[in-house]
Amino acid sequence: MPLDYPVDDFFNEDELATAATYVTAAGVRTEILVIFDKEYVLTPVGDIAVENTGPVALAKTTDVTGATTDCTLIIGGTTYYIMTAKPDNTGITILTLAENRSW
Amino acid sequence: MAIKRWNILSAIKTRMETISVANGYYSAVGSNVFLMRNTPFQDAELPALNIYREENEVDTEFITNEQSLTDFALTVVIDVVCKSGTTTLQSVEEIIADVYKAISTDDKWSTYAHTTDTISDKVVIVEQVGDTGVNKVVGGATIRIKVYYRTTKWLES
Repeated sequence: MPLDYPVDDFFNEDELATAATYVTAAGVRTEILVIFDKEYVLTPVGDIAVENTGPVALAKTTDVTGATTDCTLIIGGTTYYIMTAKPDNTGITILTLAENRSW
Repeated sequence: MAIKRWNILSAIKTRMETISVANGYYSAVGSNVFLMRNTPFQDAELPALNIYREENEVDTEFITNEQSLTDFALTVVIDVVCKSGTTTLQSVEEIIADVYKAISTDDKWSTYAHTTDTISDKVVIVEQVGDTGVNKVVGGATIRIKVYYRTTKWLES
């Protein structure tokens, strides 16, 4: 059973949260708030490293319940594929994102 | 006196630089070929090849009675890194094919080697690193070849 944390307190647009559009596989669009991070990362490919960014969004689990890799998140005009959705059992789901994917 | 191992590596780099669509290959990876590069690649530099050597083993397959010669088998790795997108996998396979085709034009690397053999190739797609996403999904491959060459014992000639 998920723990009952006051997660709404974290998703405040006056602080860290930013507006996003969550689009389900069926094309249903919902305006939600996420905490978005896109830090510099090095992606190892065999023995080579490629400069990249690692986009991650924290969302309220209730906003993205059932998120699959066929869902997308639009943030600041950029569409990101949801690569993984990991509920943390406190009411927040960690979404790892990518602007494109190999399939 | 020229160092034979270096001549071979340089010849491989020069050959890989000929890979272009205009020369009948699938890709234009020849415009981004590096030797022993160990700094990160930027998106604008992809697709790219990075060539480096691994072991240089004494090769016993061609043992002769000639005590004044040594035969070597030099393992060379050609790493492929590809631009991201839904065609990444296809692009990686095309570049692997291009590398093999380029080797086939002269696997003796002028006069530096007896022959060259393929050891293996392995494709890698990276879509996530740890707990972070990978904004631009990256694909690549590692191609291993073995170049057989001979020198005068203890010398480079």
